[in-house]
Amino acid sequence: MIRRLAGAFLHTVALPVVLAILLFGPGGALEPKPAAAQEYEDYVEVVSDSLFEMKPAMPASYTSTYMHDQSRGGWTQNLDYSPWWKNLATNISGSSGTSEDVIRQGSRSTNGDMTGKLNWRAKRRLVLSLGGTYSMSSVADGNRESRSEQRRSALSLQSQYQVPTFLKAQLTIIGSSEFRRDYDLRAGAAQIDSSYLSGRLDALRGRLLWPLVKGATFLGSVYGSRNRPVTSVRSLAFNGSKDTTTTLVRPEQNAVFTGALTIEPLRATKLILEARRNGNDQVYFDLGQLKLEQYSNDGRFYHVHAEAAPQPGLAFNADATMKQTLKEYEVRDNLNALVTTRQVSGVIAYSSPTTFAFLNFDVNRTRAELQKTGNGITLTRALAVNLSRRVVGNFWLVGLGSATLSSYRYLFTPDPGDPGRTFSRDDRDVAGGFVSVGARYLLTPRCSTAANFSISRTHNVALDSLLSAGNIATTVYQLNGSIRMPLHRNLSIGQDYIVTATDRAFDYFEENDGLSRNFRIETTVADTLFPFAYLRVDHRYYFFDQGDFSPLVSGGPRLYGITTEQAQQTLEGTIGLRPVRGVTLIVRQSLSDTENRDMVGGARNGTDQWNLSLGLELNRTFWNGAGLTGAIRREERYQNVTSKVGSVEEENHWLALISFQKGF
Amino acid sequence: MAGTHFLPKGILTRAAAGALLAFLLAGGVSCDLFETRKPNDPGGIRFPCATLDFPSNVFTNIVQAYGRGDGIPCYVSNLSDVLVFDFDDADSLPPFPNQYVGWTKSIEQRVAQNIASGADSFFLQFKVPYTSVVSQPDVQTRRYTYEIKFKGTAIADTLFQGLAVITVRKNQGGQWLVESWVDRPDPAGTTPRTWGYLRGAYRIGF
Repeated sequence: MIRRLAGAFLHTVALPVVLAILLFGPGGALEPKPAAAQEYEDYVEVVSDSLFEMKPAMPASYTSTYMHDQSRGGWTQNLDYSPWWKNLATNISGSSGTSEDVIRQGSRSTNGDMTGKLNWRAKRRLVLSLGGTYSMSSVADGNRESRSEQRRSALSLQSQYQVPTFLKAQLTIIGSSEFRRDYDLRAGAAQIDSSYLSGRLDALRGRLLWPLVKGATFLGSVYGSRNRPVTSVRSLAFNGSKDTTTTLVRPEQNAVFTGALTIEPLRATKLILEARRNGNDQVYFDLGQLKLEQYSNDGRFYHVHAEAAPQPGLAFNADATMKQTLKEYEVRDNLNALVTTRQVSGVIAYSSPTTFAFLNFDVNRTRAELQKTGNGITLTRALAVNLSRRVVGNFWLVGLGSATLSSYRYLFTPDPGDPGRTFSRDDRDVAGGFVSVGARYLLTPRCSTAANFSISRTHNVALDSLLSAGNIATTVYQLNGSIRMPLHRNLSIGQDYIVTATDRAFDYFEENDGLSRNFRIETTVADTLFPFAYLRVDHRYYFFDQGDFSPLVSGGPRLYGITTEQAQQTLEGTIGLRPVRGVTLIVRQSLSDTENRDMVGGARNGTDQWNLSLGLELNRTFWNGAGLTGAIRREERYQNVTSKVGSVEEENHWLALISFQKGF
Repeated sequence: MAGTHFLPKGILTRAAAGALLAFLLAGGVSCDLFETRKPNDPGGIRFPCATLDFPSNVFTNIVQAYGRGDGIPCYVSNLSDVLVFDFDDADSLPPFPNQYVGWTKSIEQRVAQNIASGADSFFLQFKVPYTSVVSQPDVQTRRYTYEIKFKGTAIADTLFQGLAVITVRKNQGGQWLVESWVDRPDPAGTTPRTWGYLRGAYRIGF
């Protein structure tokens, strides 16, 4: 056993460290220049056995995409190459992107990255890995004072060993060493600030999968890493008045412990107990603050999950979670926070060929502390029900319902008017409810109809007397229906109707109450003329009014006084032609007319808008897996506003998004 | 199904599941799990402040509440505690060379109170359409061209014009609050006097 552990240590820790010193140490062949380390991942990648057992179907691929719209033009390229041999799996990939403002010269962003990975299964239980990444990005908007650049590079060595164990346990130990350099630059109006950070991250990870007894499995992992990055920060004034360099050393230590116990005492029944504890440090140059930031994160996570399916179609799920995160920033201390969340949720679901029922409840309590503002407790409760029942044939009745409450309790000062309770000026509650009943009838797959009625209500309540005047309940009533009907083998018609009324009722001042209504009907006629062509006509009608909905005298009936009205009609025609496979020409033309009426002042204005769109859509595969996808469109718009001060607007532009892919 | 015989007969029937469902629904309603707390009566304050769960409501509140005595609590509730103001350099020239030092939310509240109480008439307009500078799920920056027609006691100017670049951010409680406010003259305006100039004029004694 001791020999096994010594072997594991040799393979996972000593070997990468010795190699690293030889290669990167003082005078080593690849000794890094003074440089950088920044945002570390809190895990070490586990190399799966399947990587050596599945040869990639297409080891190389290339994608190039060009886009152009009214404001920006851009080009991105990706190349991925994965040569594979038995026991040796490699990958090299790179991407680049550039985006430039169409109108504003010099406003450009570029980015690129390259990664390489080599995994060698040296022995049955031993995998050695070598990886490298390089990425850069720069952003400029044409002004000298708003240019920024970032470069990241990393080179890592990793050794993974599966330790022979007993009792069917699988223990994997991974050791790694990674060298990182980060470079950041920001050019301001008067000076340039840059940082250069270098460091070596040594990490060790262990992973244990242990089937304890029949029906009980433990999965645990331990991760630890440390780094001692050296950061040089230089500030250089354009006028030569300042040129300072500061060197800082800030150690980082990271640790993550996770454990999960899965118990399956009965068939279709499962219990999972899960825990995680992590402590992480990050040191990086904050471009916004122009200072070296040290960020630490201390987290705890506990989770219990239970599930059961005692009968066919019937399932129960329950979860209880506790999560706590402490975030501390040295420079941006306004982001410090200790957030503790406790959550309980449950699901009951039932399904059969004629019935579907679903209930979900969720209770959440989040306490925020140590923040500059917004400390307090947020309570969230939610209950949702969904019921569907097939009454006869393809006729279904559907019912939905939900209730929610979000309660924000920020500070806990005694209420002067009622010493028995506490509240804060920002305290508020938001309660919501939703009920919907409907029916749908599917005569054939192409012929169906549906109708639905729903009521949703939201009540916003601010507790403080200075803000409670705005407390309001908003209720939305909606009735909608739809019909889909084939008139002929190639011809179909569809209609959607929606009627909505929105009632806004203030808790204290009913004289401010309001109502709005809208009615929408949309009709679509589609005809597939030939296998290579289709025609589609859409008509949309929309009517909207709003106004006061308050009593003339206190306590009297509420009366609706319309203040504004709007009516809109749109007629749109589309013709699509497919001259060859994967190529579609689309011509779309629409005319819309909108009229607004001020029912109080009597003013009227209208807008006529004409749109024309000529487009080409591509989805074409060429030789040996090469493909071209995308669309090019020419959009033209003409708008005429009729009012006291009339106006005419015209706008024309091109839109393009073309992508070329090729696999090798 | 294998395994179910370990459980008491009848405990996992559909009827039992239905009963559990009904129990949860009844419990949810009867235990007031979804009831809001009782708010304090607004008393004489009759300003209806829009809720801050939508960014547009913040801008609506600013336009409707600013300059009104009963709207000040509403206006201030739209401001983040870490609010940063950036006034135009021209506003710092005489007669207000040091008026803008240390301009915090607290100062803004007192200035807004002074303007509201010192105004004989006040009309604020954010002109549409606005320019969307940043539009992300949790942060929005809008640039509005504004115009203020003001008649008051501290200064003689009655018209103020400019550009307000306002950033609102959604906090952890889901409320959108003003985090940054940049005030600049409107190059197309008829007066160089900005909102910042008006604010500076009413920072009196603090």
